[in-house]
Amino acid sequence: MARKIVVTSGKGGVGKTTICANLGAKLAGLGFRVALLDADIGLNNLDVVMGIENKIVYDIADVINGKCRIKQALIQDERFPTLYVMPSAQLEIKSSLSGEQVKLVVDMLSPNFDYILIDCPAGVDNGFHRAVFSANEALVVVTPHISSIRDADKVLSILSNYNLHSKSLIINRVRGDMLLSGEIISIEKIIELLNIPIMGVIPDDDAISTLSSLGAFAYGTTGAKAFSILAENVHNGSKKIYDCTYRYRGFMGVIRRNIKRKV
Amino acid sequence: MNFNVAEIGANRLEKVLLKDKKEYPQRICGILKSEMKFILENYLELTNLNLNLEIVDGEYEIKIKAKAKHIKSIGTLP
Ligand SMILES: Nc1ncnc2c1ncn2[C@@H]1O[C@H](COP(=O)(O)OP(=O)(O)O)[C@@H](O)[C@H]1O
Ligand SMILES: [Mg+2]
Repeated sequence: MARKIVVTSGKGGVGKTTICANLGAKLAGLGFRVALLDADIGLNNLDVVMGIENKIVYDIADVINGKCRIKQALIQDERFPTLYVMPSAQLEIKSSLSGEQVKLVVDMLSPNFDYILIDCPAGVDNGFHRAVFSANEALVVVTPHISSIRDADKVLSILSNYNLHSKSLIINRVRGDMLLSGEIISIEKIIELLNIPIMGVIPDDDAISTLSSLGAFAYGTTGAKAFSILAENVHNGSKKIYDCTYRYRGFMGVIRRNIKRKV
Repeated sequence: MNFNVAEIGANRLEKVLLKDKKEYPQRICGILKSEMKFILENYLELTNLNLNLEIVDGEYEIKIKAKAKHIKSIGTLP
């Protein structure tokens, strides 16, 4: 049976899709069988981030409507053979697809995978319900910005109505230089305010966004390292936190901070 | 810039989260009320319904006064 994890946030553009893709890749890199399910219907992006947008023949709605078998809809990743994507449905289907139907697909996938990561849409309406309903764990993504943290707080209240046995936090797009200069809210403060356990901290890394435009994963960069740690934490329950300030401390760090400030 | 930015931000955030939480019960009460109405109407042929759910002195006060002529038909028993 797979662990079914929804990646959610409330606010859009905080990195849910990016985290789904990169966490999925790292888990697959560790040898696990991973299915990424795009539940962001209409505003789906998982396909482009994964670089599979031209390979889609069938999608989740076709599986539900019996137009194809589940294996026909799944797209295997070219880099990681144990990583698969279940594409999102077309926009017209949006209103008629229920959380219960998505759960049916998730339950069908479950025996053949170790992890099912569900990419949740922004907002807390029906699409949110559709994505969360079949999960039994939630990763709530925030950035160190007030509006994102506020939305996450609301999402956490709503999540308490679901049957989830764990909820934890990922703080994304953390700029180490700004943490050191006190320009963004600290990791500790965010954890204290939202009052849930932390699963991972991901730095703001230009390589993540640049490479995702190409449908590629960051490799060897700070972001890639942080995703490796995140995958370890998710998998074995360790509580390692990537230190985003590391690069900006010491003699070289001061130089890096000044360079960052000029760009 | 100095350390104040993060601190001011965190303080403002703390206040807004508290405010959201304070308003949350009010929102939940609204939802609960409509759910209770829905359940009552499911079982009873109501002629009169007075449903009040208020927060009085920090406590939840629920008052229901309803009249029904009869229970709704439940179809054919097996
Ligand atoms: N840690 C990061 N560093 C740099 N850019 C990031 C990071 N995380 C996400 N992004 C970029 O932010 C944008 C929004 O991310 P996305 O994953 O689509 O958010 P969401 O799915 O929550 O709407 C994308 O352009 C993505 O490349
Ligand atoms: Mg997204």
